[in-house]
Amino acid sequence: MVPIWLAILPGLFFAALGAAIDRLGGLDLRGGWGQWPRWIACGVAASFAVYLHPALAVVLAGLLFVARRGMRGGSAPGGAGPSARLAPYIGVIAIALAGVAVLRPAVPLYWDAFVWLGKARIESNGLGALRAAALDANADVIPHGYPLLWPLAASWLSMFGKDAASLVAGAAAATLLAVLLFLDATAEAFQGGDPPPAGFEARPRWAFAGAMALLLVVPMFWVHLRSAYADLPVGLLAATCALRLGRCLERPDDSRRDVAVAVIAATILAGTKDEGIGHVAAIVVAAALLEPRAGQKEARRWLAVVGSAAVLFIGWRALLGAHHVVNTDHELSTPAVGALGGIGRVVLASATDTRTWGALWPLAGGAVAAVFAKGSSFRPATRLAALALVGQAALLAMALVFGPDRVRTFAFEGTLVNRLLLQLAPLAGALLALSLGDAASRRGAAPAISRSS
Amino acid sequence: MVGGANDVCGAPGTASLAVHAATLALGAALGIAFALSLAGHLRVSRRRVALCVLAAGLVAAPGAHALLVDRADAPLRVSATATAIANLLGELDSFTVRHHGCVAEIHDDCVACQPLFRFVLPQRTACATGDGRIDVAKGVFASTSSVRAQPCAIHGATLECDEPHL
Repeated sequence: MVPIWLAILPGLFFAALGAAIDRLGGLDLRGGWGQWPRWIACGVAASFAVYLHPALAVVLAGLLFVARRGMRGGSAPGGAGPSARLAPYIGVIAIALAGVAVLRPAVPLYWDAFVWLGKARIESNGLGALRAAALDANADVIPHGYPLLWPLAASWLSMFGKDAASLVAGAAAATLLAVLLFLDATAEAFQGGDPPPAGFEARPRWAFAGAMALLLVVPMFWVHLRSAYADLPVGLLAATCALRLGRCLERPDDSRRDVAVAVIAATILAGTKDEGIGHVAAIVVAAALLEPRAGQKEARRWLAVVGSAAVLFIGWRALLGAHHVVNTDHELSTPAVGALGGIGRVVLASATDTRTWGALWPLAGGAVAAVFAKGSSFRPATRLAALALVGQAALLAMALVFGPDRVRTFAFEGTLVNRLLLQLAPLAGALLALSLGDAASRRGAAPAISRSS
Repeated sequence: MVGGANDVCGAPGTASLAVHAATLALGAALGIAFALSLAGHLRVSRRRVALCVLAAGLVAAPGAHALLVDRADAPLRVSATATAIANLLGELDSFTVRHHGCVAEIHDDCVACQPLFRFVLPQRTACATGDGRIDVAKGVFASTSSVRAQPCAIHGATLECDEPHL
């Protein structure tokens, strides 16, 4: 069994820090069961920014201050929160996922898990040890120049663990934190505006349960839930960011919490993997496309989200440059136009591998096609989820074209594409929930549908 | 080491081409039906969604079989796999600590073992006095059926881990 209890004390520390930032900044993170993952994530994001460089934390705080005018409203403090209606479903899902993540041997089983946790192990030499090692051009810390948040989260949440079991627990706690943020965001986006937009009733709860079941029968999901890889958390956080911005479209006068959580998710995404900022950029572009007549408040909202990711990304790259450390894995190259066909084939082969993905991608493809074909029949958050999903997929495909040869070699050998698809899978699952909810809650639909909400 | 954290097919293939074709066809049909339902051409109901979940479960069944039976991290096999990895990791770690982190890997054809070295020595630096060597042969994880508490043996300044010891 994974010693997950090691994460309790650091979790409480980060929650207290996040709660303090929430109170000082008026972020409206408080409310319902979701306040705990929101506070912990806020504490982790703030600590990471300070860890990298205090100046980055100052810039982030300034960005949040500027964005505050785009953050309106706020739920009553201490309220149950809009996701309370779905709490029984979320409770069952969270307990099942936590059980699988925790009830397993406390040993890393997968290749890359050792690499991530090896980096986490460096931090056990003392706070700041990983940063110092990663910025030492003479040290052989692979992968060179990668963002540090994921191994740091595993280290911090395991109380600077040194042995494999402790570090596995830290990574499991970090993964579960991302799962809870995703479930919270999905539930609140599913609930949407109250009252619902014209032409819709409240989305029925069974649509949420059905869509989550469709996501949970995906075999790949269970493999990564037990690993220490960062791809599933990146997907969960990207979906959280998109769902929060989607909810802003439906509740523009009560967007404070959504903007704050989107900023937190964007910050963590940029600190976890290089492609994190790409996800955030694609999501913000999708939001902007859906609000062509946006005013200053919306622009500030988007600036806060994409800006927070950019500050971390550019800040880290600047630190690497200042210390002459090169991130060779993700250096841009001349576009490999000749490889486009091969990339398309390997993506198609991976997405249609039913042993790995079940029916997820045909279903998600069907949902995207329906939303694009009949946009006005779907609520704004659903349209944003579909557009963001396509944008993120396009961006990851571009990364394969513009990345170094090494990236394409990994893709053609059949593993990288699945990891990239995993980064899209949570948002695909959320899209299934939102679109199914919309179809079942349209006014004028069959009585059997509307009655069950 | 479990191959295939990046795809469920990392497990030895047990599904035939016909099964793959059948699940793919069912998945495609499901996607089309789902799109038609969302677009309003088919009625959406709780029962139909339940059927959709059931069909999606059927499409994913070969993958679920791999997860639950075939893979080295399947419930009935994960304990032996974890023991094999933990034992080897423990041996490497102890040896490295005894040599103050100054060890060299002299046999690098065990691709599965490379990340273990990375975990044991996450920050490799030049060692002026390093005399320890680690020799891990290819195939050390080939069989987990005869897991030993000590998979390696020390010969002089070399830690030798190879298949016969497992």
